[in-house]
Amino acid sequence: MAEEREEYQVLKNTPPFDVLSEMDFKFALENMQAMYLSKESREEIIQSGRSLLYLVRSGTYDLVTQDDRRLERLEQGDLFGFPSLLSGRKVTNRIDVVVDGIVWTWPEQTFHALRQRSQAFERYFLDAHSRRLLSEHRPDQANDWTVKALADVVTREPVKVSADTTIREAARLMSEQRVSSLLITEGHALRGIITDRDLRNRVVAAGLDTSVSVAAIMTPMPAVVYAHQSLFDALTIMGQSNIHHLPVVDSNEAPVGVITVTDLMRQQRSEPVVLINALFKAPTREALIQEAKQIPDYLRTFAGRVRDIGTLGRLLASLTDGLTRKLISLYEQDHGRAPCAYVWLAFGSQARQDQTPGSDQDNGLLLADDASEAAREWFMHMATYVCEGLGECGVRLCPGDVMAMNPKWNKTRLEWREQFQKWVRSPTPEAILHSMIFFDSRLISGHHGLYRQHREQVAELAKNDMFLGNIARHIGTLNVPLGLFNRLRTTADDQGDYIDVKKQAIAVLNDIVRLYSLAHGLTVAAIPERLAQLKNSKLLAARDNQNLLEAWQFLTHLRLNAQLYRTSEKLPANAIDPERLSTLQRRQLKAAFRVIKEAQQGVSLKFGRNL
Amino acid sequence: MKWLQHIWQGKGSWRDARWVAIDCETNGLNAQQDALLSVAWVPIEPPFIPLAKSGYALIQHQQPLNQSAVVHQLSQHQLAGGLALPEALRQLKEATDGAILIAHHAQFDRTVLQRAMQLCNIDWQPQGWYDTLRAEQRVLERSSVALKQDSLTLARCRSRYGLLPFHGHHARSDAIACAELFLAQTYVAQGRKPLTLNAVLARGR
Repeated sequence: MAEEREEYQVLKNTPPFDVLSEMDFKFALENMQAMYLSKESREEIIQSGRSLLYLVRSGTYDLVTQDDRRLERLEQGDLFGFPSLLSGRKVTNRIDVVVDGIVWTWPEQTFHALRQRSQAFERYFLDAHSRRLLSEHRPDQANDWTVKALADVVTREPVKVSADTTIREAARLMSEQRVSSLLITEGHALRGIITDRDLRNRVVAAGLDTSVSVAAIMTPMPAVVYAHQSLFDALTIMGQSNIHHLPVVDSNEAPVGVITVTDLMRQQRSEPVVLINALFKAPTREALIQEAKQIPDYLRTFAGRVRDIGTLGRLLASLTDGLTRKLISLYEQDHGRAPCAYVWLAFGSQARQDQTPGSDQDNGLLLADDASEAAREWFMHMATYVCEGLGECGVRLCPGDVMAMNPKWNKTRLEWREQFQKWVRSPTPEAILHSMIFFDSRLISGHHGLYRQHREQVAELAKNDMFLGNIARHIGTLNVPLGLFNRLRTTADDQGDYIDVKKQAIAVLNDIVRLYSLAHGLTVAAIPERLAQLKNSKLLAARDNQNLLEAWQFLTHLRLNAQLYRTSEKLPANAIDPERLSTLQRRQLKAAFRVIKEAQQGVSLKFGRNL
Repeated sequence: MKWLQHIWQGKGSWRDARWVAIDCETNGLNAQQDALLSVAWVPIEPPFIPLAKSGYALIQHQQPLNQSAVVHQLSQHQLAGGLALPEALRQLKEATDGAILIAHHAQFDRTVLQRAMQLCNIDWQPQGWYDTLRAEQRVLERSSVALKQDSLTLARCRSRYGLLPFHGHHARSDAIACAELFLAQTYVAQGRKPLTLNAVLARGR
């Protein structure tokens, strides 16, 4: 019978009541009273000295501090009254009734009984009380294979030999140990790797003498993955380097195992492996475009399987990376090798690895300073081929023309340096607005040394108080859609009321994290990595750091979900209609906006005063 | 009955009286003829509505249903599994004896229930009646709003107080909806000083 009641259904869908066991839920329902909350009835409660937990059904109320500061506007679905219940202290904040209505209430004893019965219930209120609402209810990651740490998967010690071992001995060891690869080490350090395929291609097929040492056929300085990284990281690296055996090393770079494509497949009939391989094997541009057509469909099924949809941003970025490298190598097949050292740069979301299906391409070329006119010509053609190819593979051309095929973003190291200097020295609002994405960059292909030089140069240039102060000022002008009394503020146009979660929130958060990163001279681009490296920052408190990370995770998750399951083609790609969110999501969205707003005020205080 | 009058002067606060909102679903709109199908009651302890103390009785019924089944959505099958009428009424009596009953368009519920009680030979003496519809009508008349035909439905009355839409035509949700409306009407009317019981009763007469 109880299940048929309207209040049963409503409460079942209201966090944190949704975490209660059926028995505890019934207990909550049995002890719930509806109440008409008006100025007068509020007085009656205050006079009776009772403490209650409230859930708003209708009406509007303001939470006001003793000194008349309005903290929050409470509306349908909002909970209040619990801070004093938790602390047991006298109520200090008061409720102002703006519009009368019905609230559901629970007596103090019921609240405490439920806290004792259910840890999750108690956790919710403790989190909400300490404003840690964002970390709750994030999907359980334990079962998501992509985020599993490699340390948990790699169980077998690596089979290692020294560089002076002969090929024959190495092969015998491999067959004895039943492994398909062998690490070549010197002391604790990894020197190289040989695989079954190397024995076939570089020894048997080449008719090489097997008494030669393995050093002759090993792949020296192979790509590696760290044990603390995830399976997904391993997958990305394998895809990027087109290899099937990846040495796993500890934080001291000492090898602790090898992970293979087969291991990954065993974890999951892993379609990323299959897809990335298919992209890599595509013999022509046309074949590549054909394969790339499957990406959107594939993403949707992948999103349905992984718990942490945020992985998708990285997967997309690594697919774009892969496509870019493949297009470059296809061009080189037809037009010979690049005439001088270069770096293909990714900017913006691809650089930060938080790409979404709707992201457009942002890229550029960094050429060695000795690039000749003929070399520049070669790179212009290559860039046009690659950018247009990416466009045909589904990565939209950049409407703002931030692409390597635009001569403006196809520069030598010195020219880039000049460009960055210009931005840093005359940081007009216009310049700040347009230059920010260039400060998020990543090497996709090319010369690592050249990139490192360039990146360190940029980091050095950006550590300029006036520049940082102007970025802070720019951030201060951005509007987070959290209005008076902490209400969500939607933009209304002919498509309805919505919030652009990218422009109004994620971009602001990116700007804030970038500002701290520039102040510290960081050269990484991804938000989680930047925040991890900012952990010991004197400028950014550990707690604010954690809050920003959680807000970022929540918002990117929300945004990807909105893009993947978009209801109307007419709505802007990043539009969120707060009315369509669950009660919990709405509370989290508010919490995330509050984090950004506070961080926004923080940067004005920290960086703005030098102006 | 002097002792009763003494207690029951109606000069005390309305909040100290016993209030129960009720609603019944019948087989039609003719209170004199049609059969009672279900009845629900919800006590009110201003400003609270203790939902868990509410009651609902479905009445056993063998006769075929007429068109009204479309409205109240009770099936023949459900009704066959209900309580015998005397048992349902006994429960209602227990929950409402000595209380002031509140209903939307109370005249209808009053007639239906009194007829049913008589039929079963149950002596039932509610302390009084309050009609949320009449109370609303008075408010609207005083504010000289032109009344339209449907401006006094329970849903319309509730929306005037900003109360949420509800799933109508289940006796229990209607009774709760009516209880909320009663609290809204009374609290809005009372202002600073608590109303006397008599004043509230006069509004809903």
